[in-house]
Amino acid sequence: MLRQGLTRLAAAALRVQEVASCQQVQAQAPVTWGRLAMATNSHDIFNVHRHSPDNNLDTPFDFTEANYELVTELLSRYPTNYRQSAVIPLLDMAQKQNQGWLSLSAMNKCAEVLGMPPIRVYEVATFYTMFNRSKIGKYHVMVCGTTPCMLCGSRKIHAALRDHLGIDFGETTKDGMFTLGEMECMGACVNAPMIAVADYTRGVEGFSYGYFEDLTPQDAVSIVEDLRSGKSPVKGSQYRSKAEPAGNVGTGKWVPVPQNLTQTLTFEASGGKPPGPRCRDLDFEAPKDPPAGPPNAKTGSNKPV
Amino acid sequence: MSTSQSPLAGGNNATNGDKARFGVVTVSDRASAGTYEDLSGPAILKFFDEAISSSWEAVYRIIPDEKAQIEKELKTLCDVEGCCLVVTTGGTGPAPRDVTPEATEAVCDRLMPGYGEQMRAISLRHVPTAVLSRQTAGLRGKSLILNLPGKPKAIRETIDEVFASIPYCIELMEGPYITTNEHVVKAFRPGKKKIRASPSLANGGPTNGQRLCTSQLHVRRQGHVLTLVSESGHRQAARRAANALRRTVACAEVDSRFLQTSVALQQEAAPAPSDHIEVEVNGQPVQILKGSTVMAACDAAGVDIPRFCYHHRLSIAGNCRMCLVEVAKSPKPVASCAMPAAPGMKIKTDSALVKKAREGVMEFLLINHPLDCPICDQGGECDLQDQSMHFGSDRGRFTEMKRAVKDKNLGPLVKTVMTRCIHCTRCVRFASEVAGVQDLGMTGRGNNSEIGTYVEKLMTSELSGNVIDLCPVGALTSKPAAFTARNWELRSVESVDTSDAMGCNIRVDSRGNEVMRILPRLNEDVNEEWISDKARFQYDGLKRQRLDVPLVNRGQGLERAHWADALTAVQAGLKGIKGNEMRAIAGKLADAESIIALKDLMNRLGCSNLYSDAGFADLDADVRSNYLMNTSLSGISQADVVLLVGSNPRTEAPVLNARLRKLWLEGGQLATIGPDLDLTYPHEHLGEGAPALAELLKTGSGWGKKLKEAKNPVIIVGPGILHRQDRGSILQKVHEVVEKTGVVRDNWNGYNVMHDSASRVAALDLGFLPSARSASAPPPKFVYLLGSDDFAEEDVPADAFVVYQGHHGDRGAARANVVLPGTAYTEKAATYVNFEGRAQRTKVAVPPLGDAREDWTIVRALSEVLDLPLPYDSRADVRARLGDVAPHLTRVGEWDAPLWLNGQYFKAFAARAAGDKAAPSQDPFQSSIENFYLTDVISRSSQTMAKCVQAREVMPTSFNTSQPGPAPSYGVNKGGAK
Repeated sequence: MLRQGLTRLAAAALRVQEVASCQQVQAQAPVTWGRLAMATNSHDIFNVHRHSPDNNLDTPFDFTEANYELVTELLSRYPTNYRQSAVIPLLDMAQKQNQGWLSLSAMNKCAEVLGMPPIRVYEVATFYTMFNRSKIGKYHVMVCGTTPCMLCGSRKIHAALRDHLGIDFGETTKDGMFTLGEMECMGACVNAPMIAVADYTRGVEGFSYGYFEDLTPQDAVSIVEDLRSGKSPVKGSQYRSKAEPAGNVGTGKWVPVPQNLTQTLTFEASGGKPPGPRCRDLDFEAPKDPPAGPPNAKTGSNKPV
Repeated sequence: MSTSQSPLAGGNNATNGDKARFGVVTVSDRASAGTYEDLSGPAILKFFDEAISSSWEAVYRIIPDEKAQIEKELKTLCDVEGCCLVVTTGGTGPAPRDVTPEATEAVCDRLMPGYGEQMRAISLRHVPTAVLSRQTAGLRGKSLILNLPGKPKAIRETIDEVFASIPYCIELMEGPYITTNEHVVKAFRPGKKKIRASPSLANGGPTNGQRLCTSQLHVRRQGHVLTLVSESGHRQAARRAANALRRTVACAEVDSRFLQTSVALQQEAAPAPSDHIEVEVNGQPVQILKGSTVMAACDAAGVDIPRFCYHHRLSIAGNCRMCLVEVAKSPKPVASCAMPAAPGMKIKTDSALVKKAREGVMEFLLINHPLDCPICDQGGECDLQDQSMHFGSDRGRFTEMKRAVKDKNLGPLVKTVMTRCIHCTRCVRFASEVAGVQDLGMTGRGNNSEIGTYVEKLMTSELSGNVIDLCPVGALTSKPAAFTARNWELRSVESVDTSDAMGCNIRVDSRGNEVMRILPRLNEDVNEEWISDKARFQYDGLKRQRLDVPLVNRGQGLERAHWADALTAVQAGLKGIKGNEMRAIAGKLADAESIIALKDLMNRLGCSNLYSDAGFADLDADVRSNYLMNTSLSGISQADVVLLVGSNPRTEAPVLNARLRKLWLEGGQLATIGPDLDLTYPHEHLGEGAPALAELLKTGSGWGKKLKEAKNPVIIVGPGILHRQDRGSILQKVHEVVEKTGVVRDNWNGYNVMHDSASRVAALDLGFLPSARSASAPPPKFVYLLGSDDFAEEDVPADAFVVYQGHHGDRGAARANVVLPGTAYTEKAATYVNFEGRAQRTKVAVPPLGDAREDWTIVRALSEVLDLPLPYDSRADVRARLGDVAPHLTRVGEWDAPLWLNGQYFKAFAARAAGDKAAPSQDPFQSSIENFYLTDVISRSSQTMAKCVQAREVMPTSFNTSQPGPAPSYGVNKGGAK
């Protein structure tokens, strides 16, 4: 009991320290906040705005000519009396145009275009963690930390990226290339672990949001290095074509499943025949021999180790 | 005897009311001798155990078939043991030893043979020998004695049916209130009347003299007095209802906001009108208006629902979850504020599920709420504190860190302690819905969400102080009143605001001689429950620049003097001055009593040069409808088209502006002629000045047509027009528009004149106006300023002898030869008339300062010195005089529609104006108020108001510019003492 209590106390004290220090630092200069971003999975710590040299009311922002056409197209999808419904797509577009983050003037511009009070736009922008309200790297690298990825080694991915880039979650590299973030499940659990990279280098038109799956720590590092040097690393699984049962990276390197084991165990156990129960016509007496099973799916990896 | 199996007590101990005591008597020779075990008595006890849900206990006796002994036992049980019901078993047959019926008849005062007949009828269905039984029943005092058959089987057969009527029988005998388990036996109680909420109130609107209702009892709340009225006349019922009431009203007494939403009821047996539905609240049928919420149904049933986010003047948010109730067939508790009531819905508010749910919500709310009640200004009047007394636990299970939120700076009025916020969003909804400023919002999400402006900025509403009242916790409190008083130290007085001409109802809270704060008071006809920031926060001006002794200027500047010296100095100043050479000017804050006293005195001195410092002198006061808001404030809420001429209601009467905004929200259309302003609601700007008025005369199109075709059109002429030199020709233009567009029609008078100072209407009502010949009067040699600080320079010539009577040292006192210290509106009981012509009275909240005196008594004393004594010596006498001159001034709080006289006044006005051919000038119309925060001596002396002006110069007022300064088209400029 006592030990538990002490641990809890220590954790609490640590957190108090963190909050205090973040508030101190925050008044001085824009820095990155490290693990403080726990709560929102975002590098935006605060849900209020403080003016900073690169983000204040005088920071210029306007949609480009081309993007104004997109705005018009977007607005045409909503009834004229519900223009405000377009706030999320509009903010998204502003974020893509503005190198991955929404400055105060970008939000104000959206409010102006939509004819809604700025505070209502701020409410939306602060609610969704995919909107970044402070400056961000050109590539937003988000490591999935949810259970399946964690079990398959996402912590190693995180550690490798952290050590390689020299930044932790919520921080940006000095050269402004990468911001590291943690995300909740992105739905690619079969190919766990994975990272998602939002590429803000090419504006609205060239924006991409790529999944990189089946990662070993080395893969993760080589992906960010490829990105840094302008190459286009392979998206999707690094080792298989899609999500077929071909192997896994749980041990830190790709271990393919032997060819004869790509089938389910029960299939093997039943002597190469599909195990029951099977659908059958109950009105007929079942034949003694089971009907032939479906043809075996022959799959293999596209990238053998 | 198997007493171990047959309980001698039972029921739910938590049941309210008295415990019921039952007597069970087994009459049997053999059982009493111990020959065999008695099965009948235990069978009866077992029945009690199964059937009765309320609390009970039993006395169980076994006696032989001896008449005397039976009688003795029955008497003991009824008279000594106090059993309300005594059941015997056995001894009812035809055998010689069977004497129970005889003994029963012997001890009873009155017989109830019906029970015997019913029991035989029941038994005859089972056995033909039932006809041999001689059971009976009777009443002894307040006890019912009942003979039951002897056999356990027969006992259950009969008592299961017979018992249905017994609880009601006992209730009628003023015995305890017995409830039954309905699956065993359903107690029958006839004559429960249905309760129907009157339609206007089912929506949650409060009224004066509210009534809470429990099944038998009404509570009237008038002022602070709760009156209990029993309708049934039963002592027992009244006692029971009072118990129930104590539970439900306990929280209401703590916080008057609860009672405001308790709905008045009328008890009627009439069938439900078609627009009503019937629902059941805690088993009690209630009829409510279709479309009402579950919460409205509970209110109608007199059941209080705890709440934080719900407020009947704001939209429904449903996010605090405190108002959870149980609804039959619903798998989860339901948020009653957001759930529409459906016909036949069975609502439970007192079940264990509801209690558990609310306790859970409270626990969650308290997780992040700091335990700083001892240093919280809301302490003692905090909804969270009050409700945690009902639903809170004495310990928490949460062991993590509480979150902390940075405080926001909303300006000099509203203090924020955001860590205390429970995210009810009342302030956000008030700002965006009522005040009409889109300043506040909730940013972030989940545990990280916080209320604020995101970018630090001023809350730019003139009604911002109302969020303090709305905040159910201590997150938003009054900045000027921070840490100055605890609410239980304060003495409250119900009064009227004088900061504008609307006459908002206020409550003045004071401690000792100091006004500590001012709060709004509910008045649906005037200010609903809002007041402006000036009305709420200018009170610190009452403590500065005050005049507390008479002052006389004897050539050395103003010096302190005694009253007698000061009055003699006035007398000396008057020496040799003829009536025509005098002038009296009433200020913005003058009350009706002092106005009539001064008028009477000046008339006695032969002077009729009576002016108001609100500028214009030539307004005709013969017809009240000429200068009043004829539609009335509540009438304006029914308007559909509104035209504002030369008015900025946002500064002239902010609470009226909230009403106009509500009108717009409900679909009304508004337009202005005058400066193009941000009025917090969209409106059409028809032009800057007189040409736009001329345009309106074309009723074929545009706003002329709109006014003509409107159902309830309204034109409001602002005080800015009345201050202009060319007001005559402008008013005539307005009159033409009124006539041409039919703004005044059958049962609807849409012509309104608005004023900006509290004294103005009373002065007009009392005829405090210059007479016709005063136009040719010479420049005055003697000027009496009745609290006048905004007089025009030319009205007070440099060589005139000036007397200033008032409460603040401002422009008037600086110019005066003699200063007579009067009282401010919080220090006197005085009559004010608002711009709709409603007379209202202030009350004395704090005593006058120093040597200051109530204003009319000063004039009265001066009249004595001048040897022209006024014929009134008491406040009642003055008011009688007020009543002689203007009878409506004594009908306090009431509003009479001013007589229109078929527009005769317009014709007379036009005839008068015919001689004066001057066309209206082309100058744009302006509001009469340049700076909302600095309008009269009190607000000009207030540091808080000065801070408000300053805040607009240093804090951002808009989200879009980093430049501080006036909000767009708000019209606040620097300095501007007027």
